[in-house]
Amino acid sequence: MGAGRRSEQTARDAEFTEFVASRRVRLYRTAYLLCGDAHRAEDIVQQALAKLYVSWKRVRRADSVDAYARRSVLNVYLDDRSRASSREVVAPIADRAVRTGLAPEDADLLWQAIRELPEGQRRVVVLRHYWGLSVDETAADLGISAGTVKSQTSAALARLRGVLVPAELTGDHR
Amino acid sequence: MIKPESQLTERMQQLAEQIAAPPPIADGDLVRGRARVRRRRTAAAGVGAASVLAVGALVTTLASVGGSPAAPVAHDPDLAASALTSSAASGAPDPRCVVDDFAGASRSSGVVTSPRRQAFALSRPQLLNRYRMILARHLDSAGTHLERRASNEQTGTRSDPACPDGTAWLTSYGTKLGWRMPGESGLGMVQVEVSDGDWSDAGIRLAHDAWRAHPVSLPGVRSAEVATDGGLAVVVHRTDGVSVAIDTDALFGNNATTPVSGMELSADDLLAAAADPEFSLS
Repeated sequence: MGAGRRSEQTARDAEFTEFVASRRVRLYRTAYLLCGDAHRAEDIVQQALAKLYVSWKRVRRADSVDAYARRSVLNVYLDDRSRASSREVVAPIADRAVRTGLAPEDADLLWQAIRELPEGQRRVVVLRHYWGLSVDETAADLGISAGTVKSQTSAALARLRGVLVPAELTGDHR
Repeated sequence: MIKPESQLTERMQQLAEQIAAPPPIADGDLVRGRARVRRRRTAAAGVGAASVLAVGALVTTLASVGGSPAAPVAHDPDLAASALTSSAASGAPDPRCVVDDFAGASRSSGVVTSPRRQAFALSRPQLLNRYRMILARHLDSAGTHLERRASNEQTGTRSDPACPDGTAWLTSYGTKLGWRMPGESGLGMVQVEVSDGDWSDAGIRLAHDAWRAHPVSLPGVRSAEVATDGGLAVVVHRTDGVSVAIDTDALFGNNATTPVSGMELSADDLLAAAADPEFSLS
């Protein structure tokens, strides 16, 4: 390997390492929200990051690393889904070690509801409500129209409404 | 009261926070990335070497046919034969293996829309042009609505052992075309996707959730479905295993902000177009 290529690789490695340190957890959680399985999520992220490494220079130049990585996760998930649909697993409690403001029973209900969303709606929900993408950004990521994103968001909200209404409004005081 | 959308965002964030992720250590990712780079270089070098050998063998063959003096390389006929065999065996991969570079590119099953792919040459311009012509024939015989040139490609792929590393098997191919209405500034969209892979993974299938069976009697068509949740989309499943889907939307989301007032296309119009036997992946 020549000195030029070596220094190029060193620079790429450093940038890539920095990116992984700051984004890997988010990408893993994206994959997990899509597939609901820890092992598959890790496989998906590994494949997506390997692809990202190969394309690093070009993607970095286009200043689209986040978008590329996110889209890679979505694509690898879809590729993987057709091969592994029979081993889809609902998120086990043991994987959810960290407790946040969401009560365990509410988290379970939300998980279940997300798992039951049609594929298209689930992807839209993850991009819009986990990544915080706009309608247009979501449409660009998924290669669908903004109108479809809106209609899928609306349909997903309708399905999820039952698990979003606070308990005090439903009279359900668990 | 908090809006449901904001509430969902908040809950999704909280839910995601509960997912215990592996520590973000890049070592393994670096190793896998470097290995992937090496495999790609090796594969590229292999194809290049096979080509060089094949050219050398061809030179030898031509020289011997013409009775010329010794050719510069590959004098040994066994070597020439071996080079040709090697080229045939390991040379150009199956044309259905496409560069697996989808994440920056547009991909219907997934997915991705790609600012980048659009800036580069289309991989199958003649095929896209044929798709456009078929659509124009069925949906816009007067030539007043449909964009005149296909400049966008949507590809779907899957991993396949038959494809060298860095490439994947093409399972679907298609394009999105603008649709204009005379006297209006808006831009609608017609998308076509031809697929012989799993229809459940096709981009247009995933863009809609409310598919319902639609009775049809069209030559070569086994069944058909229609979706009206956001635009109008149809798919025909042909007896040869190919599915052809057409999706329409009054707003070409990524290319315009103003929709057309209407597209004047019925489900039956779209189904008749989708059933055109000229749609294929090659």
